[in-house]
Amino acid sequence: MMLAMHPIISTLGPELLLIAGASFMLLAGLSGSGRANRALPAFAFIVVLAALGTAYMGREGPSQAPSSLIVDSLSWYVRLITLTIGLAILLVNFHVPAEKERGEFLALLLFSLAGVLMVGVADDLILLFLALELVSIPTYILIAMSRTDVKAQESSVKYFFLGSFAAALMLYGFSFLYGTGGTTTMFGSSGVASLASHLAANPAAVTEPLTMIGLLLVFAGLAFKMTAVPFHFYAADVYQGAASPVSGMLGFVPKFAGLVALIRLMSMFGWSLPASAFWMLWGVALTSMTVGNLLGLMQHNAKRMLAYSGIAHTGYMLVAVLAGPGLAGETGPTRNGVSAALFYIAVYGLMNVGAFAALGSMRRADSDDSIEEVDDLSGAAATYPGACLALAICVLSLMGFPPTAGFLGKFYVFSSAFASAGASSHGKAMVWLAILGFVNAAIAAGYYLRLIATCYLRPATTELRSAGHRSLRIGVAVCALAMLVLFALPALVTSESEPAGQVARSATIDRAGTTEAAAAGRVSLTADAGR
Amino acid sequence: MTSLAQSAGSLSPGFGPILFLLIVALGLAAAIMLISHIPFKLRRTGRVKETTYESGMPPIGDARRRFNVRFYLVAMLFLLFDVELVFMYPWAVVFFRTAKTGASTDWAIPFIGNAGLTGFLFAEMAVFFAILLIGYVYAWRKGVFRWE
Repeated sequence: MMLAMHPIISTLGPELLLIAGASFMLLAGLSGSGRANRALPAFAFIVVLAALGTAYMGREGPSQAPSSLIVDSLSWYVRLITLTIGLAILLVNFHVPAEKERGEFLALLLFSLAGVLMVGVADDLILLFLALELVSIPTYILIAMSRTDVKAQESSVKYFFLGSFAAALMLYGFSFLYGTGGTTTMFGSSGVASLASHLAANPAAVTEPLTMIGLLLVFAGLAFKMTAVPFHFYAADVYQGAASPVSGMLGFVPKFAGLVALIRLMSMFGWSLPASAFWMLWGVALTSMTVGNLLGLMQHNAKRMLAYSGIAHTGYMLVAVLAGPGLAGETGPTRNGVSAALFYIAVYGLMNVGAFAALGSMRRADSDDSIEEVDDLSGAAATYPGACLALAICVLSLMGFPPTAGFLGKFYVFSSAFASAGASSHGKAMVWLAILGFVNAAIAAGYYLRLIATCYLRPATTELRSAGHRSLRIGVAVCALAMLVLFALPALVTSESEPAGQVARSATIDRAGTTEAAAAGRVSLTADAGR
Repeated sequence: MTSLAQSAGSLSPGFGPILFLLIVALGLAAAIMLISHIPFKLRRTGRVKETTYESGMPPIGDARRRFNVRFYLVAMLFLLFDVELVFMYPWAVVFFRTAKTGASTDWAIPFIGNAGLTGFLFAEMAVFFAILLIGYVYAWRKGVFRWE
């Protein structure tokens, strides 16, 4: 009984619930009984809801979290958003697996969600690596299971090999970080040797070659998870190969895990990077936006188009991450880049899942796969007004058009970039990044509008039939509705993302000032460093 | 070798053994490659010598033929239990040391505190075992062990 009260169990409640539920489904799905199989989607839904409830009850966290775990408002935010969007992902994925593979498919989905939750609570490099792999490994299998097509096999294998390669790079980077600090603890409690305290105590250590190599390799691994340029090559092929609802999940789950890990890593470095690392991230953000949008313009396959749009969105999020957590008192997403990035990914997750799932709800009459070519959507609005309206709302949101939450996401990202320009030592660079971001948003409108125009303005050429389960349509409607609701009531998310962004900052309070940072050749991303 | 490891240890404390291991690993790999390329008098060539090594069996057919995927599944399952047992050795050592002295190694204290150490260590292994058991039952029900 003492064990039930153990701090590790009470701290990791939602994660343990998800994993126990997933393990149960893995075995229950093999029983072969049709009744059990039909009950599985509802069971998965209840498990995620229960995990959300457990997370809500434990959001304050224990007075002292067990070591190598970190429970703060960022980890609560990760749990909240992952599980909420996880519900939407479950809704749109119920019909994807074959009847007898349902247990395995849903179990893998829950394992992947549990991985994202673990990324939020990991306070140890090894735990962080395991959590990131728990996110990725199930997705390799999900892709292969989602379709019987040879393309799905190809994309699964491609994703697996490239993903393993990126994971190896990241792990190698972690080994360098361990080598510099002599510990794998990232933050730890006060008085415990940790990488954060090591880097804070030795400003020179940040620019050491060993740290730089580690940082570079870890960025490479995380850039792969986030599909940032130059590790974006796989995205279009993989998203195209997977069934549409699974592609929607792929666009959000690994990306969110990568973003959270990046935020943790940046706060470990006290948001003050070596100048070369700042410029590297700056370049990655800019090229991700530009390459994603330019290649998106050239696509005539809707899934590839959305994949390239995902690369561009990663670029926008990186702009916000570079804007940094802002001044001490300023928590709002217009001033705090971390809050803005966290808001952005939540909105992006919903609109991405919604757009892919809306595509998945329509099929060519002569095919068993959801529509892929943009031309197949010609005039679809006449026959499928609901799906096309939802698709249009989600795509407008991806574009950042006003009555949708996507607009607020972009607004927060760019205003936080401008806000950071006033105080950061690389202000001009941030202003240029924001301006180039605007240009990119305009370029992106070209292909987003083409998608909508094809649905509404072109005469129907292809005969379509509807596909999927009723839950798919509910999920699509929920995602589209959420875009409108979050535009009216952004506080639903920002009230949680603000403290989360603030936490990322708190590690920096006792950091060295600008003068010292400049002397050590570093770029400080926290605005208060100047005072 | 020792002096080299020591001098490396003075550079960055604690990494001497790792450098030593690195040198041994690289040296061994280089030595093996070199030895196999030195032309000994004994070196014989011939049809049998040049055939593909197939665990002592006479090789049959093309390497690109289809083979039963079960070999690979069984190898994975073997790995599962192999790794499980490897983990159990250090666990057993720590467990019995804890049971005897009441305190485990000092690294464990910050993780779990001082109370209920043995219970925690036991539960930890039980959880690990349960997870592997789920994998085993899954593989079993999937019919990995059926050889028809």
